[in-house]
Amino acid sequence: MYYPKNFEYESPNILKEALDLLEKYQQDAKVLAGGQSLIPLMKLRVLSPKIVIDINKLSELSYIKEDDNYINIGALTRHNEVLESELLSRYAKALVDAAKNIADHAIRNMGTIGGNVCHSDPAADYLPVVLALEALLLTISNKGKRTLKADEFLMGPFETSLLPDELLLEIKIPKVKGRVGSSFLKFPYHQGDISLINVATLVKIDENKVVKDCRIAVGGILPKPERVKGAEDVIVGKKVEDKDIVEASKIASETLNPQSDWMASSEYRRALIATLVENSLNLSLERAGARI
Amino acid sequence: MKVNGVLVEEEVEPRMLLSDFLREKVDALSVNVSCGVGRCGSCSVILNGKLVKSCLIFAAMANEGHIVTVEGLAKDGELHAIQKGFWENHALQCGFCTSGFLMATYSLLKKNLTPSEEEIREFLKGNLCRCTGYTNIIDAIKYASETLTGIPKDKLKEAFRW
Ligand SMILES: Cc1cc2nc3c(=O)[nH]c(=O)nc-3n(C[C@H](O)[C@H](O)[C@H](O)COP(=O)(O)OP(=O)(O)OC[C@H]3O[C@@H](n4cnc5c(N)ncnc54)[C@H](O)[C@@H]3O)c2cc1C
Repeated sequence: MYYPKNFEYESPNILKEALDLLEKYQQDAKVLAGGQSLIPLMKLRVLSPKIVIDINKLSELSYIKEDDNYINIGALTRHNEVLESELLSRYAKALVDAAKNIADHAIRNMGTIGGNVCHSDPAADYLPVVLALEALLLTISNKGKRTLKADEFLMGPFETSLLPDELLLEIKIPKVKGRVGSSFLKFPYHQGDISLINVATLVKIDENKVVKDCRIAVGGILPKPERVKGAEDVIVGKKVEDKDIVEASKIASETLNPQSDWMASSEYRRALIATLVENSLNLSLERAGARI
Repeated sequence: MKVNGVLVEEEVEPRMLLSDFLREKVDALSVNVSCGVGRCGSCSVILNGKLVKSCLIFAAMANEGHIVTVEGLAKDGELHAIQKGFWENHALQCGFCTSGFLMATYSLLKKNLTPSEEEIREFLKGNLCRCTGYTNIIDAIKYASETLTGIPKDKLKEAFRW
């Protein structure tokens, strides 16, 4: 049986205590949220932190709220809470799609949105969604708060721009007003598993069904998920027809350069990109009301 | 913490996993560890009302929590309807995965007493069985669902007391 190296365990009751601990221990400390990525890595001894700061008692980090411009999601919000949220269903359907497709019910009861984003596995399912929804990530440390765009936060495989004394506090999803639809689709290695490719799209149309905004983000590729501007441009500014969607998905699969690994070849991933972009665009358009 | 309603107090190393704590300190030997990385579901237990995989939780994280294992299902020497369902439908062979399936079923039926086959399959996605081919397990859950649907309200409350 694998067992982690021993460590010191802290479970602060208030946020300030957690920030003090992070300030004191910096790189020696690891934040423990749901543990569904950190604990496997500690068991395999890929990671052996000296101090583990368990933030599960910080219930003030668990919420889904709205203000005029954003849906604000606390970092400690569990995957199952994301998928059951009516607010997110209304404003960020792609995020709900992603939560539904993460692992299984038990993992979703523990795993958190903050942990998933901070872990920054290039194939993690929320990553293309935060890119496509142009989410902002709010961090906090004893020095203050910072607001980062999703593409500034995600740096590369298992790497973010979070500083050692910082905690991710909140994910802010801008409310896009008007006729908007978003969706997320993935092709997992097998059911309930990590994605070979995942795709999130958002489409906004006007009253004449002309596309005003289109965002396409693809994950499961190295070094990190990306927006595909060239494909987005094909869709914007017109009343989209099937051939445009096929054209956009072709551009996405040709622009990106997915890796080959033990799970799938680069060619296979390219084919998945084309299919998933096409299907996700269709679904987002349908949700925006373009097909009625 | 409380395990199946009984208070347990122990001091453990921070790295002790909840699954090992339950087996070694509480003698809850229904909790089986197989894959150790959260994929197979044989270590599934209920923590504070929610289904979790105990091999991916440190015991310290469950401090002051309430845990339910298969040991907490039967009452007064009588098997729980879910256990009877598995018994009557031959829903196990080697039995190693069974505890996890029982706890997952408990969690499913508590939320949704009459799940469709599709809902059953979706909910049990995180539990693997290498003997049965799942057909009898699905039958067992339907059997439990039917049995429990027919019983009086107070008995039903009793069956899902945790
Ligand atoms: C069997 C299995 C299947 C899975 N399948 C999928 C899948 O299909 N799709 C998918 O996307 N993911 C999948 N996952 C991963 C899962 O989504 C994890 O829950 C998630 O990646 C990590 O969230 P957590 O809360 O458990 O974080 P933890 O494991 O606690 O932490 C992960 C990392 O983030 C850091 N961290 C956590 N919270 C914060 C914070 N607020 N501030 C700063 N740093 C923080 C930790 O220090 C650590 O480095 C799977 C996991 C398992 C075990």
